[in-house]
Amino acid sequence: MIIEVEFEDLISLLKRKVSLEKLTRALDMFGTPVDEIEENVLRVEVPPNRLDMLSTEGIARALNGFLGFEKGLPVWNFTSHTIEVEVKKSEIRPFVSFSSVFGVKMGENIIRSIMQMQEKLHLTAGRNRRKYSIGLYDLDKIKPPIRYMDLPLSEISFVPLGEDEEMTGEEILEKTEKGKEYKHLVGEKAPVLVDGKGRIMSMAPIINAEWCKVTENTRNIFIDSTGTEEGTDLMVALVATSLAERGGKIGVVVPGPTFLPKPMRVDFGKIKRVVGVEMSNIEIQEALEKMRYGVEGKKILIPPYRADVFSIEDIAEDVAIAYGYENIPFEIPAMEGFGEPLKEIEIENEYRKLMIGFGFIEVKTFVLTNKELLELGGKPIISVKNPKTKEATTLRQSILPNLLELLEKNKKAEYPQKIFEIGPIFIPEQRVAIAGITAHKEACFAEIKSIVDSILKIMKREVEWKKGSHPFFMEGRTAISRIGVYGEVKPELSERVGMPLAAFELLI
Amino acid sequence: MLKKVKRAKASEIAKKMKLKPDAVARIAYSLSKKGYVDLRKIEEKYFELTKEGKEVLKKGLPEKRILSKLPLEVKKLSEKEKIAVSWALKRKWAEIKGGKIVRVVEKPPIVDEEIALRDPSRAGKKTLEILKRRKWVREKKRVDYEIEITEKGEKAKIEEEITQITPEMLITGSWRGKKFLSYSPSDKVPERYPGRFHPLTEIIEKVRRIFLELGFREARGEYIESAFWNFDALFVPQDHPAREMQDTFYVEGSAKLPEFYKNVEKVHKRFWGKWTKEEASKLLLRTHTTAVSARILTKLKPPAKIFTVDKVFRNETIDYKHLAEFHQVEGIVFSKDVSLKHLFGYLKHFFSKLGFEKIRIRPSYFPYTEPSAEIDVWFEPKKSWIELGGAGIFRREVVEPLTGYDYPVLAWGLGLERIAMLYYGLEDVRELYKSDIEWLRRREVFI
Repeated sequence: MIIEVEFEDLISLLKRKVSLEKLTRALDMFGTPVDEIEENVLRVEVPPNRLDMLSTEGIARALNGFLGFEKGLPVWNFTSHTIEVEVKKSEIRPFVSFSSVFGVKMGENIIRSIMQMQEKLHLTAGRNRRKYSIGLYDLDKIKPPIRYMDLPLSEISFVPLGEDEEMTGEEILEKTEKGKEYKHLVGEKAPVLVDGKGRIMSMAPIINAEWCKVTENTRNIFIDSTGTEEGTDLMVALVATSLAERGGKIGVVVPGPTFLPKPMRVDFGKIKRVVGVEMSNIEIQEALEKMRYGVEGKKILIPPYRADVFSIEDIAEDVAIAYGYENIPFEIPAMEGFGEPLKEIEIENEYRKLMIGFGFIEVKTFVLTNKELLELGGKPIISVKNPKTKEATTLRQSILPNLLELLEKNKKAEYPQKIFEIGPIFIPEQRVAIAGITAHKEACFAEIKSIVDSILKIMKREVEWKKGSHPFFMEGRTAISRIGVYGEVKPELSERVGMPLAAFELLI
Repeated sequence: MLKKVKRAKASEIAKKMKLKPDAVARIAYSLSKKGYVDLRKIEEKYFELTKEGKEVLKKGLPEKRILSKLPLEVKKLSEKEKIAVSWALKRKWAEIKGGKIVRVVEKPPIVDEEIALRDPSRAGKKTLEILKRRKWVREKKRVDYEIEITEKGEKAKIEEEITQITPEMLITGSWRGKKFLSYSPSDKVPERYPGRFHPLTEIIEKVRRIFLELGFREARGEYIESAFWNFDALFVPQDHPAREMQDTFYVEGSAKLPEFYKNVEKVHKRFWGKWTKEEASKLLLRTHTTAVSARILTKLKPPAKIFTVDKVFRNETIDYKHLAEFHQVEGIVFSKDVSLKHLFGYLKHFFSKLGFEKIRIRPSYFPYTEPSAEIDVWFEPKKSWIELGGAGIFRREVVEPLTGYDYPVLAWGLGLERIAMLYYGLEDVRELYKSDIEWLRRREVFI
C-alpha cells in the first residue's frame, strides 16, 4: 500500500534534523521503500504487516527509533478524562471499540495524514470496510453518554457528511455515493452512534454525520471502530496513537484499547540463530529498543499498535532490520547433497539440441491463448473464469496455432524460416510437447517427415505413423500417430503467411 | 579468354566457362580492384516465352494447325478459330469461298515467327513485335557486367585459375600445377543464420547450472494448482486480497486436498479465525512457484536443497513491465542450521554468477516468510536499483504443518524475465515473447 507523506511534516516530527537523502535511505532499509518523490511529497510503500506506518506520525515514530533519536516504547500522555459509552449488542457489526484524544491542534497536515490512514485501513485490514471501519468525531460538539445500537433504516435520520439536507437511512443508501458503495454491508437495520441529546453521529460502516465532523478547529477527538470480527481495538489504537504522536492526551474508553504493551518472553539465542550473526545480549537489546520494543531482561514489551508480532521470528526480523540488512554478511553454508537435474528437463534439452542442429530457431509463446486461435488445434478445453484480456482466456492444447501466428507476424524476415517451441499443452492434463514449422518455397511433406523420422530415431522412440486428417494439416499430406502429427499445413492456413508450410507436433 | 576477345559480358563468360554468373562477377570485381579489367554494370533486355508461347513452340502455329480442319463455315467459327483463320487468310494459305474457308496451299512455308520462338534473342525487331502482340514472348531485364581487359591486364601473365575445386580434380590429380583463384575477405557473401536457443532458454540453463553446482535438486510442478497449495499451505488468509479474482486466474473444477489438510486448517483457524475447505479446493493457475516448494516440502527430510525454474500466472493487463505469464526462479534450503546470512549468501552468489556484482537486500513482507527480504540489483546503464525478487525464511506456521519439523527453510522467488531484460538490454518485457525472428537470428551472445 502506497501512502503519501509530506516531507516537511515528517521532518517536523523527527527529533533531529535529517537530509532527504538519509531519510529515503532509512525508509528503504526499514522495509518501507520510497517509491517516488514528487516535489514535497514522498510516496512510501508500506507492507501490510505495518498498519501503524500508514500515517506520517507512525512513520516518524518508527524512524525516530530506527535512526537512534529515541529508544524503547513510545511514551504518550494520558488523561483520566473519560467518555461514557453504552453498547447494545449489534447483529450487523457486533464488534466495537472506542477511544478519545484531547488537546490536538488539528492542522490541515494532521487531518490529511489521519484521513489517509483511515482510508488505507478501510482498504487493507478493513477489507473494504467489511471487516472493520473507523470513524472520527469532534468531541466538543457531542454530548455524552454515547450509545451504540442497531436501528431500522427508517428510524435513522441525519445530514450525512458532505450533504446539506437530512436523509433517512434508506435515502442515504440510495442517494449518497458512500451509501451506494457500501449498501451491501448493512441490512434492514444499520448500527448507529447516538449522542446524549439523541443526535445520530454516524451510520456504520457507511457515513458520519455532518454536524460532528472533524475540522481544523477540532481540539478533542472521539474515535470509533465497528466490525464483523475481533480486532476493532487495534484499529482504534492505530488512529489514537498516531494522534498522540502529535501531542494529544489519550483518554481510554470502555470498550476500547488499553494501550498497554503486550509482554512476551524471548530467547535471545534463537534471535541470533535466525539472523546468523554473533550479537551480544546488549546489542540485541539495543536493536529491539530501536524497533520501539520495551526490554525488561528476557521479557520484551510489544507496543500496542503492533498486531503483526506473533512469534520469535517476527522479533528476529525486527532485530535484523535494526542491525541493518546491509550489515549481515553473505555466507554459503557447508551442506551435504549433490546437484541433481530433473530427467524430464534433460530429455527436453536433447530435443532442443536436435532442432538447433536442424537449423531451427527456438521461440517462446504464451500458454494462455484465445479460443479463436485454439480452434485451429481442436476444441477449447480449459478456460479461465476471469480473464482480464481477450488474448489470454484459454490454456492451449497445441503449440502449432501459436507458431502460425508468429510466422504471420514475421513475413518480412528472410526465408527460409524454421522455428520450434517446446512447452506444455493441456489435453486436458498437462503434457510437454515439441512443435516445429518450416516456411519456405520448397517446404513439403518429405522435408518434415525426414526431420521427424530422424528425431524419433535418435531419441530411441518407435512410433507407427498412419495417413490421417487433422484441422491444421492438408488432407492427403498428413501423418498421425498416438504421439502426434506431421505434414503439410493446409493452404487455408499457410496463405496467411504466404509461404508453403510443413509442420509437426509431438508429445515428449 | 579475355585476352582473346578483349571484351565480354559476364553472362557469356559464365556460359562458356561453366561457372555461375555471380561467381564470374565476383572474380571480375577482384580483378578490377587490381586494375586488370574494367567493369561496367549493364542492364540488359531479354525475351522470355510465355506459357502460350511455349505451347505454340511445341504444337505449331495456330494458323498452320487450323488448315487441317478446313473447310469450315465462317459463321460457325469459335473466337480462337477466328484468330487462327484471320492469320491464315493474311498469309494467303486459305480463302473464303461462298461462306466457307478453304485451304489454298498444300504445304505452308516456315515463317520467321517460328524461328524466332526457338531463340527470341536472335529475332528481328519486326518479328519480335508480332510475338509480343500475340503474347507469346514477354520482355525482361537482367543485370550483367561488361568486362573489358585493360592494358595492365593484357600484360599480366595469367594462367588458367581454378575457382571451385572438384572431387574429380582431387581424384585425377588434375589440380596439380594449377593456380587457384584467390578470394578476399572483402568479397560479398550472403548472410547465414544458425539454429539458436531462445534467450530465455539460455538464461534458464545458466540458472540451472548455478543451482546444480551448489548441490540443489531440481523439481517441477504443474500450472493448474489448488488454492490450498498456492495459498493456504503458505499461511495466506482466505480473505487475503491476492486471492481475489482480479489478481488470480481461476479455472473450473475443484481439487482433492491432501490428508493432512487439517494441520493447515488448524493454523488458519488459530490465527485468522475462518477457514473453509471449499475455498482451499478451488483450482487456479499458480501465481508463484512457491506452490511447488510447499508441495515438495511435505516429502523432504532435512537437510535438503531444491530449485525450480518455471512459469507462473497473474491476471494482469499486459504492458511493457507486466505479463500475464512469466517465469520464476524458486529455491529452498531446508536445514536446522541455516539463517538469514546464508539466505543472503545464496542470493549474492546467484546474482554474481549471472554477472550482477552489486546487489542490495532490503527488508520486505510476504505472508509466508519471516524475516522477509527484497533483492535489488544495481543496473549500471540506468544508474539505478532494479527489483528482481523476494526471499525470506518460511514462517514456522508454514513449515510445521507441512513437515512436522521446526527448522528454518530459506526460500526465494526471483523474476526470470526481469533478469533477462537486464541481460539483453530490453526496455519492454514483451519483446521476449514477440519473437521477432530477425532479432532471434542476429542477437549477440551474453557471456
